[in-house]
Amino acid sequence: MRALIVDDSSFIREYLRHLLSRMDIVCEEAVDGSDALMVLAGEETFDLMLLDVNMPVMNGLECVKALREARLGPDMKVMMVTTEADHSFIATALDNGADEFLMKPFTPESLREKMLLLGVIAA
Amino acid sequence: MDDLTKEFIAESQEGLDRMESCLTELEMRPGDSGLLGEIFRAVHTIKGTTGFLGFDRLEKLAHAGEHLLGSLRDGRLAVTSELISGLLNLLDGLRAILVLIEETGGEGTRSGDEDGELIAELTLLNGEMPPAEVEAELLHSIIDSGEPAAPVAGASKMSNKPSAPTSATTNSERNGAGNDKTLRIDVDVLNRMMNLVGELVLTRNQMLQSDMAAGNFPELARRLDSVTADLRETVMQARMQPVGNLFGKFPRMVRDLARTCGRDVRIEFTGQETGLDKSLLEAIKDPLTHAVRNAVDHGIEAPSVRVLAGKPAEGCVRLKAFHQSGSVVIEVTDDGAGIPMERVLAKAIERNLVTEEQAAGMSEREALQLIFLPGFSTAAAVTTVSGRGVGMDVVRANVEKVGGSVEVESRRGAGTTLRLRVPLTLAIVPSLIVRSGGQCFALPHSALVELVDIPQRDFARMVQRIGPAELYRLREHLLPMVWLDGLLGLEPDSPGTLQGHYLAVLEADGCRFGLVVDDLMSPEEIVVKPLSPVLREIGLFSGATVLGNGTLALILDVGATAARAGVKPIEESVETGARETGIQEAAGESFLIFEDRARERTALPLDMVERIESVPLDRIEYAAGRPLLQYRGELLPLKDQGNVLADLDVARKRGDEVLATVLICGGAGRGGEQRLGMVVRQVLDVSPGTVLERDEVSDGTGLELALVKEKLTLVCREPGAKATASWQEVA
Repeated sequence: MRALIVDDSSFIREYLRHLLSRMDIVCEEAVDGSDALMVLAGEETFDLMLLDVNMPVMNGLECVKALREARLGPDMKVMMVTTEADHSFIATALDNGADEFLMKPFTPESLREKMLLLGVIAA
Repeated sequence: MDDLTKEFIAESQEGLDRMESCLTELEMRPGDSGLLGEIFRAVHTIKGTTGFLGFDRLEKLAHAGEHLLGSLRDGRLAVTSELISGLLNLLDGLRAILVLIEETGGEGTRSGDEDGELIAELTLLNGEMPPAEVEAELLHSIIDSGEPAAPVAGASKMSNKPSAPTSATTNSERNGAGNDKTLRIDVDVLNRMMNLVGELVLTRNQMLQSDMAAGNFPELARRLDSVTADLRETVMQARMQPVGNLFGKFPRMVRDLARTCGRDVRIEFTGQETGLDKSLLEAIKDPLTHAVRNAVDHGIEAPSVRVLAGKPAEGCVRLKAFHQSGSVVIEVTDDGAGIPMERVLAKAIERNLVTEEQAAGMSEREALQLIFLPGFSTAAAVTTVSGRGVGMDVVRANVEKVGGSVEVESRRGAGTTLRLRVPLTLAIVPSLIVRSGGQCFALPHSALVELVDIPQRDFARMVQRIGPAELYRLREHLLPMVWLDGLLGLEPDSPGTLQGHYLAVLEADGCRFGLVVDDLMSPEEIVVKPLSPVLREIGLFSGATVLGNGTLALILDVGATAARAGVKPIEESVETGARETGIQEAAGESFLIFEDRARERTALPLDMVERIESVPLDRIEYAAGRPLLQYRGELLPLKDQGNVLADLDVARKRGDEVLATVLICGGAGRGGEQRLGMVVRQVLDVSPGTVLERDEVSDGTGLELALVKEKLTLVCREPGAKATASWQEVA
């Protein structure tokens, strides 16, 4: 099981990696949307993408749209990681091809719950 | 504190630094959505991460800020100066909490309403009523802001001309460290370091296995040399930080300061990418801050004053960093009123720093140096901004502590430039090792201008004495000479064993002089070791080092040496900016004005003239066609450039009683061959004058022009040169 964490905040990346590694998930990181697309265009495949919304260069909404249009990682689940200020973008994100969203700040339990919902991990 | 919290603090601080520079820029370019996006994101990231760590106070404040910034981003608010001030307050508030967390691990929440006032201010700025309706309004605005953030990001990509402060921002983003104790290093540099350490280990292994006598030993030593040099370079590179990191905080400071002082000031940067050792960057932070504050508070005039003086109302402070001969120079230039010289002098007299007589005899450059004296401040009133007794003396002391120097230049009505010069690094200094009195000394390359070989046989010819001072004539300029062994009270090497001397031409603190040493050794990159307090007391050395051959050497503090030897700063000519104008003061030098046969006005520096004698013509004798004068038991060669003697001779043949006017010049009783008499037609006057320019056609006679009593006058600075040489031929 492999996950790609996309966030401009090194704190969030570190935190997510910490939580996911406890579930034996191998993590890669990207610092913004375009960085993520480059990783996805490479050899590696991922089962899950945790995607921040507000990022420099390319934000999460543009990123999910682009990767779905280019059919990068077609089997990968995309979970938007948002704050309440990004709340109103959720509908757009889902339209653009995101599968689920997680609201910051989240607890390890809520992350696990959402991942169960997506079916990337088993109960 | 756990690693995640540390990561959070470092990241947030970097974000806030970026926000700071963006905010001051936003005030100038209110429409720039890229800047707004950046500012929004800094607060947004803090807000988004605090929740994980449970910092409620920080979250509340960041939330209020994000809300206000959201309105701004969505175009519901316009950028005003009040708004910028409010956001800067928000920035300060966030920073204060971060510092609290960093120091105590908590945000010191007691009442839960520590930031109530600030949050209320932000809410008011958002055009809302604090605080009851806040929640409702907030929900409303969230629903309102239906437009996605996409246009913001798009615009930031399209802003094709990032201005200077923006590039500084990206620099600090890449290289900036959250605080003083951590340093971000490019992974490439780290890898290179690792490779070099690997090379070092390999070389060591080979050395351990090989025999001292083995043939490949020199080869191994060479490899060790090159690896060490590369490694040193790479470590230095890792320590280098762009000075832009330091400049980043100035726009905000200048803005706040300008508002407090009622000035209109913008700040410009060049050379932010110039690298400087991290420890040095820290060391010049305070001096530089002080210099910028001074420029705004004392330098730039009030807008009305500026307009009356025909300048734009908005003043400009420029920070410029660049490399110059192994140093980094940072200039702080303002286009303000310049330093009022008469007020500097008046203040210095009032504070008993100089006497009135001293003040009257001071050149402009010397007077400017007075501002560096402890306790000096010219501000008419002690303001909250600068003043309060700390001033330029602190700036200078701090910069000198790290081996740097401070210079000031000022032009009335045009502005002031303060120049901080600091070495690239503290630890390793390229130096020349010299020998004097049987001991080794290191002269830093940064102060070394050139080296001159003086063979024993040329010594007397090239060295001139004026009073007790010895001067060396170097390409038409007189250079004060300082004997290192004499200055230190060392036994000079027995003169018989020496082939001659070497002159190391040194420059520091605006003084240029020639240091006489016995021998030149090798140039070396020396590692500076601090001095024991006993040696530091002497005040002439900046450190010590161990040389390649294992001996110890003291590192000479060139500026202190010049001061101890009484070398005066060079007067810099404003018109040409040329440095090499010689050692005399351009203003206030006194001349003796005389006339030769052609009735040409000629001036001789007064300090060269010992006496004026009227000599009966028959006391002048001739040897090999050259005139000589028996004078107080000495045979003086006479110089008669204007052929005055021939004229006088004609008059004598008519039977008149004829006296020749002879100026007894030079020597001051030492080295009789230096003295001579100058025959002139008539002594006109003694008057102060201003040297205009050196004349290059002087072919060794040292001719130059001076303005004396508003008349153009030829200056004869060295009457001895030709006459002495020809007299020696005769002898």
